[in-house]
Amino acid sequence: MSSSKLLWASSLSIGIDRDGSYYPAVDGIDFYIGKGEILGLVGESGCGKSMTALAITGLLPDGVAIKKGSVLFEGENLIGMPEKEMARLRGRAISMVFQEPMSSLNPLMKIGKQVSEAVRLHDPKPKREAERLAEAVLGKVGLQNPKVLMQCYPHQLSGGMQQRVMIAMAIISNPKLMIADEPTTALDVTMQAQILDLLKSINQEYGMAMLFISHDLGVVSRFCDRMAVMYAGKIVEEGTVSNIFKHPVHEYTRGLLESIPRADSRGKTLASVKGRVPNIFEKRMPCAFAPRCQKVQDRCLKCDPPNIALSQNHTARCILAENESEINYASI
Amino acid sequence: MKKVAIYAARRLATAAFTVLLVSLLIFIAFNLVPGDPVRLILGTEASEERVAALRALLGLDKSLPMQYLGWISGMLHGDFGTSIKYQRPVAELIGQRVPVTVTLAAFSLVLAFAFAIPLGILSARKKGSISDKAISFGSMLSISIPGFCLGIFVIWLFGLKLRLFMPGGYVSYRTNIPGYLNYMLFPAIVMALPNAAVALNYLRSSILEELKRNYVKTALSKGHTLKGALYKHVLKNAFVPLISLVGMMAASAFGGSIIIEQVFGIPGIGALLIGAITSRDFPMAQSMAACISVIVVGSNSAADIAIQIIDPRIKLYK
Repeated sequence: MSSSKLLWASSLSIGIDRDGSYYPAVDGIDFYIGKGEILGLVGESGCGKSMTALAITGLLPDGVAIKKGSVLFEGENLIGMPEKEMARLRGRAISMVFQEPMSSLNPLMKIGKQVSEAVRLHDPKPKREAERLAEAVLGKVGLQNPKVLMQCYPHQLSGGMQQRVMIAMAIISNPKLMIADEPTTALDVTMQAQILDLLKSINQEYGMAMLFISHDLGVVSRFCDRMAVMYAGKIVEEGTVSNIFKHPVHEYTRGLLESIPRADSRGKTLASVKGRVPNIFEKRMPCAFAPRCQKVQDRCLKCDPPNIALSQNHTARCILAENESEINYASI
Repeated sequence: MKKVAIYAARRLATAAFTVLLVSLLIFIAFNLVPGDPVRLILGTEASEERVAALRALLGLDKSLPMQYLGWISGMLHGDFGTSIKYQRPVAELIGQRVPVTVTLAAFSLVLAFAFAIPLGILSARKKGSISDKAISFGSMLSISIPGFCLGIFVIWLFGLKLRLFMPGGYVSYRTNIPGYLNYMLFPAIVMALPNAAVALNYLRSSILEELKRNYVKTALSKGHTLKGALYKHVLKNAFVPLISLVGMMAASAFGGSIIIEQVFGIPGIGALLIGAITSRDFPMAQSMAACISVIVVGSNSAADIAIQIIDPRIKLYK
């Protein structure tokens, strides 16, 4: 089992130390990404998804630190790895694509240089060769006229084109894992679909595993193999996309699923999860979701919810999950 | 590149118009200053005929618009008028002294940025460290000490104690260039220090601001170390706002060298300008003020054009 796991995070906690108090942003999460697999990490803003992604690559902002836990990547612990070694891994073995392509590219550097730099940082190729490769990859991610594009500055490109450039940089060294943090959120709907298709084809062609961070369950259902739902720094439900969509157990997951617009919900008011995610400086209930939960019970406010395995590929962190017997997904 | 050329042409046209406007203001200002140069030259006892004769000779009998046009058209032909005090062409008097002030200004700018760039980078990289605090204390100090105090201190330390130069022993560039540069180094340091402090703080906060931008995260995710990302990506971006500062400093270095020239006994344009104003030597003062305005406007325009070349995004077609 462990040999098929590319990345394995266990009891990962990330937080902020301020004025002698510790505030957790991510609170002891466990998850894994199999080789060539796409794991969706979903939840509202402020649940700790991006922090998790940044922690993997050692890019947490100042003041935010990993408190405990480990992240094994091909058996090697990334937590506590020296900066230089980590830098060698970034881009070559693990690459990233961010939410806002416009601000994620250096405004004063030509596209060609930015893309070919991604190669040359890891492979001391001659400049000309790296540029040829960059041009080829820019074509590969569906950009027209890569030769001309190489000479352009980021502001001369549309948002979709910029995101393709970001993806080109993220795949050029053929890494094993790509972390995509809301890669389509800043794009319009048609562009979103195109970028997702592109990422899917990259996943299939290169067998590149992906950690796909999104708040859009609709996208996750089409795009990911497995998913983990995060709420207030904890993974509240985890499993294959088909299992969770067929039989969501945690009330938060159910709420998110109900808030996806569907063809048959046309004309009806879209459901939403009432309330908001507590910010990390707020005191939390044992089950952080309890204040928003429609089925909240006295026990939820007193003891930590257990993490219950509903099947081999489905777990939920909720007291109510205890009542779920072995689920027969096929019958649903 | 072509766009930049068009921009440069427009910018220079604006600059020329600005200078023209400034020249008009200078002319009006000098005519508002109380004190009659003719009376000043001839004394209060002079006869009306002599006063009138001198007036005619100096062209002061013409109407003000005519005087202004005469001055401007002369300037455009390189004739800056004749100094009343020295009875010699203004162009010649300024020409002798401009190289000295230009050296001082240029020297001080180079030194200012030679201090500011490495120290600015260092204090940004080691934000909050002892060295950052020491640098910020030092820069605070060099901004708050008046130039002449700093000048006197430099003369005492480098001139009298360390004997690296001879205070008051100005060496002309005409006779001994190494000696001249050696002498000029110390007033240039005095002028450079406050500028260095300003530029350093500017650069520090500019770097810290740029480090928060998303493209830095991208650079790191590609495999840069923080240092690599700083030098390959952040610095160029951080320098852009610094360029306009260079323009402003170049301008103020030229106008602001007067006190330092006095303290170090350097025959730059400073002494000439003060003399011209106190003796109501209008042709001289007027032309010098106009020259300074050309330099101020010119260096700011040059900075704007440089930003256009470096940053492809900013397009100020105005």
